[in-house]
Amino acid sequence: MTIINNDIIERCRCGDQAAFRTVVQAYQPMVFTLAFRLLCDEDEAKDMVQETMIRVWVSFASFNPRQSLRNWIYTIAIRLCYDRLKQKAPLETLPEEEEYFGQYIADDDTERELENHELLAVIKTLVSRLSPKQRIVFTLVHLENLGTEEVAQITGMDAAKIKSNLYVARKTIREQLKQFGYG
Amino acid sequence: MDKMDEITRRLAAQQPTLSDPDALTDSIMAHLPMQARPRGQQFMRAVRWISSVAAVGLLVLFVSQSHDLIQRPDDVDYGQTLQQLRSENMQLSDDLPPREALRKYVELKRSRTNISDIKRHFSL
Repeated sequence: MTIINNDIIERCRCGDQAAFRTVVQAYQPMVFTLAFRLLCDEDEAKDMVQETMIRVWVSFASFNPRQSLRNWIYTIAIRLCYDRLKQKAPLETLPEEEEYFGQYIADDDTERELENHELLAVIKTLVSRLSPKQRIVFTLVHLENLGTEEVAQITGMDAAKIKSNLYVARKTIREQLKQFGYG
Repeated sequence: MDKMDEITRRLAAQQPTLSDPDALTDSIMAHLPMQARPRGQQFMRAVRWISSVAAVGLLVLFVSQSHDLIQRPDDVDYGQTLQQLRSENMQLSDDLPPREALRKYVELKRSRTNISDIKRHFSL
């Protein structure tokens, strides 16, 4: 990932589009991955990258250079994804997606690279029963590998809320796995 | 290892592939709107706007207040003013032309002199 230094940040704050292109190139894979995992839709994830980056650009003047740019972009992306998740109908998995999920968890080849549609089928089946908040906390902690403190900073939730959402999410996923024969 | 932890660990290592990232970057750059102004600039803009409104308000107030003060002697109804002076038993000097007497009356009024001063001025 390209390192975004203070000079680039300052230029973005002053409205320099060339500097902002560097920021977009550096952070669009991160936002795409996050949105892909949360929304479980590739096209929506791309829309979310665009929406997030435009929001970042518009509010760059209010960005405090002392805070982490990565976490700030994460926060914007999470808020937009959360709004989208609330509007969306609950995830409904297709029989073929569930079938693929069954094959995936039974597969011993853990290093195999998945195609986007395969990855989508697995994540979708795994998180389909989670509420938007549980899905966000689970994704940030287990898939994005963020610490509780960072999750609290990004989502605005306190530690107790994060723990309770994570507890319910893990419990729900375990129940989901039981249905596939893994208790 | 717990099955759930094993699956999440595997999934965390898998990144979705973003097809044609340059096209997405170009699309984002093509749709950038105007950037919001920094808060400091917004504050200064508000201060400037309020100052302008206050200045215009003060100007209007000044003009409306000074309108009475800058009333020209020619605008005065001489007949009515003379009648008022006579009704107040003022004795005007015969050799003082009425127009001059009225001019003095208006000047005194401008300087907010009270009626007793006016009477004193015209009494002989």
